[in-house]
Amino acid sequence: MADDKEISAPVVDGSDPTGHIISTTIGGKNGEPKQTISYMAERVVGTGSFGIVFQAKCLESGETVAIKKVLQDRRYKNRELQLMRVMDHPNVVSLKHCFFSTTSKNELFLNLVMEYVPETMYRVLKHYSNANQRMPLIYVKLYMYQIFRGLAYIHSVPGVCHRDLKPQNLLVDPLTHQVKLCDFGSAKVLVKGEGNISYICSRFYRAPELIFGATDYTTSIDIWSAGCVLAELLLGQPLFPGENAVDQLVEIIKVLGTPTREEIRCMNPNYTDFRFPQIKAHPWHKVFHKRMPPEAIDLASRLLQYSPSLRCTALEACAHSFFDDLREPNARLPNGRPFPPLFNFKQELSGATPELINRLIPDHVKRQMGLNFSHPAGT
Amino acid sequence: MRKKKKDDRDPFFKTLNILSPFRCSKARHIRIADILVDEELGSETDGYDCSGDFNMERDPHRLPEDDGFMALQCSSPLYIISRWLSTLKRGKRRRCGGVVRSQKRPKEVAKTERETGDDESTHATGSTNGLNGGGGETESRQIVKDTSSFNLGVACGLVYLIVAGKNELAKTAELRAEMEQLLQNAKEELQSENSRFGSRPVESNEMNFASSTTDLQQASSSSSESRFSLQSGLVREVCSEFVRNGRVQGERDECVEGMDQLEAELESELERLQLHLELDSENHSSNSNYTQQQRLNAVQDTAHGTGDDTSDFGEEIDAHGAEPADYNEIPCHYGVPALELERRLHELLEARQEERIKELEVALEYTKRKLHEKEMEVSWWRQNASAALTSHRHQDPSSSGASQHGSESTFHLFR
Repeated sequence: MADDKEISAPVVDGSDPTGHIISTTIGGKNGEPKQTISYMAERVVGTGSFGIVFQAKCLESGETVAIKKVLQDRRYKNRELQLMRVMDHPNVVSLKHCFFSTTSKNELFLNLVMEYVPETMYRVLKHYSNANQRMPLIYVKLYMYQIFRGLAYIHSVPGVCHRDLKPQNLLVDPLTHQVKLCDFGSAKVLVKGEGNISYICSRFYRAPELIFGATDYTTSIDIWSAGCVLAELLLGQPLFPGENAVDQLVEIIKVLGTPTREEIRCMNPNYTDFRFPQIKAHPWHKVFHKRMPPEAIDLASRLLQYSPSLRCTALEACAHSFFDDLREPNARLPNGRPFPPLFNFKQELSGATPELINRLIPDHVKRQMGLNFSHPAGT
Repeated sequence: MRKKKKDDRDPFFKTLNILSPFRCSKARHIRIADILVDEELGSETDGYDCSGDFNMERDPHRLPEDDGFMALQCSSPLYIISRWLSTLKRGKRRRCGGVVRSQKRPKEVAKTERETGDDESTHATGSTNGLNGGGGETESRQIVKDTSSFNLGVACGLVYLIVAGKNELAKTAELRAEMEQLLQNAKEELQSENSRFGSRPVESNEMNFASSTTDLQQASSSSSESRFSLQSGLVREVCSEFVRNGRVQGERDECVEGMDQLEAELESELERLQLHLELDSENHSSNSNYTQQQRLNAVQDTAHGTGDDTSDFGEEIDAHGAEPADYNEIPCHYGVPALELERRLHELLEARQEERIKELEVALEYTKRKLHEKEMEVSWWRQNASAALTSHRHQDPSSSGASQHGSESTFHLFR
């Protein structure tokens, strides 16, 4: 990916990139000819304290890309860049290229050139809620499955915790219905025994241990966030819409009930001395509408657990019976097109039990794989 | 000028006498004045009281001692003058009691000067007159020494003036010390008032506040800081006013009032900040400010750090450097306040119980209505049955068999 490309000096830059042409040269290593790539900035698709993301078109290839431009501290490597360079998965947004640029004020910017995916889960959800509709269950399954597949990859292969999973950071291709995790600006490789900041993740999707200020959390905070996204796709609105940190916890307690002493100990032992009033849990089947399939409720209840260690892993979630429909041999999109690739697992299965792998890969795919394996052996 | 000064000091003369340790220590410096006054006292038998108990402690026996001490200490011209003065006085003392009257004059002048605040010129003439009067009586004895004694008299007057001036200076010094004491007292008072209000001393207030607001928004903290320095300025003003007037009791009330006002201001300021904070946490998009600040802090922190990418300082930079616009920041690192959560949960519990009560009330109402309906039905059936019975009997009282049959059937129906 980006590794083989040489970072080079930019040509044009400005505060508002729209309409600008940014040229950069790549290659020149190993006797390859140097190649100039020019991007025409088209529109800003996102802004924030991090910088801006704009849509651009590569003039040479005609390919549309998203360029995330962030202010670069000269003293540090950009962690997002470091992480994105090693990630390669169909459900994780891919880095195509990167380059630095400077402004007249001598500010250094890092430009991450990524594949462009037109929609986000947030906009898709909004589309349905505006039409006063629920997202069809097949899409919920398809999207959630891909989210878990992406999480399984980043959690196991590079060992990265995303730490800001939310509908805004889930890209959806409206044609292929492929989902990709994006924005690794908060992501970090969590090292056991090392503390991490607890003020990460957006409020509605924050795991309770983060609200309790825990610093020794694990990748299970992403699982909580994914559980919140699942509930939001099923409900059409956020499950825990807290107005502030305390309110967020109260919203969670309204559904899950007051955490037990043991559960509090698992989240943050500093709070075990407090006696919180006992609130009864709201039954999961009453949280969702009546016709909600029990598998969906079961999955949600397995993801949204107080004890981080009791939450299922991303791979276990993929194997959940809620996604069985996707593993059917003749399962297709409602428009008759095939699903995006769902079973092309690689390293992420390395730590899984044979039983889990067996459940993850449907028979028809196994047969196909066996055919594929036998085919090169035969020739 | 001087007269006015004395008038100003007048009230302090009383307080001066109260504070005896100060008076004693200060009195040591006023050697010449002491001699004059003491000598006057020693020669007087009618117990002339010059300035309260100022000289009462000094007994005449200690006089020579003091004199000697003075002689050692004084600079030469003053020493010589005082020697002349003492010889003159000794000579005078040797003479008859009539001299006493004439000697009394300068004292009287001194007394009137102290009490009414006569001006310098009157004083000077008074003393010279007195000395001249003394000189007049020696005229018959030594005419040759006339001029020299006149000179001596003038010198005496001058010395007296100097001494009086020195006395004044000493008193001023005492007053100053006392003022300082008062100021100290006032300060202590103010601080104790402060601590009684539960807040820290005024001097440290600014600091404390600033440190507590660093967790909040920078803008609000800076504005509150300036507000606070203004307020502490006000405190100082109140304090100095309090000292200037010197009326401890009355002013203390005023000071307390000032503190009350300050306290009220502090409270409103805190409320305003809290409101700001809440607004801020509610507002999804307005936290970029905080993030910016956090980032700045992180940069400052890492400026003297190891520069290691994986350190947590670096993490702050990275995390905040890539936050989307609607990222919700929690400014505290230690999780939610447990008491706040407890309070909210109690509220929730109460709300849920109230809801349950309402549900039960509705159910009870419904059941009651049902019961009432059933009762109505029962009574209707009863009425019907009895009506049917009576009508059967009334309709066919002759054909007993038929009526019996009919009544029986209705009975069965009822069962």
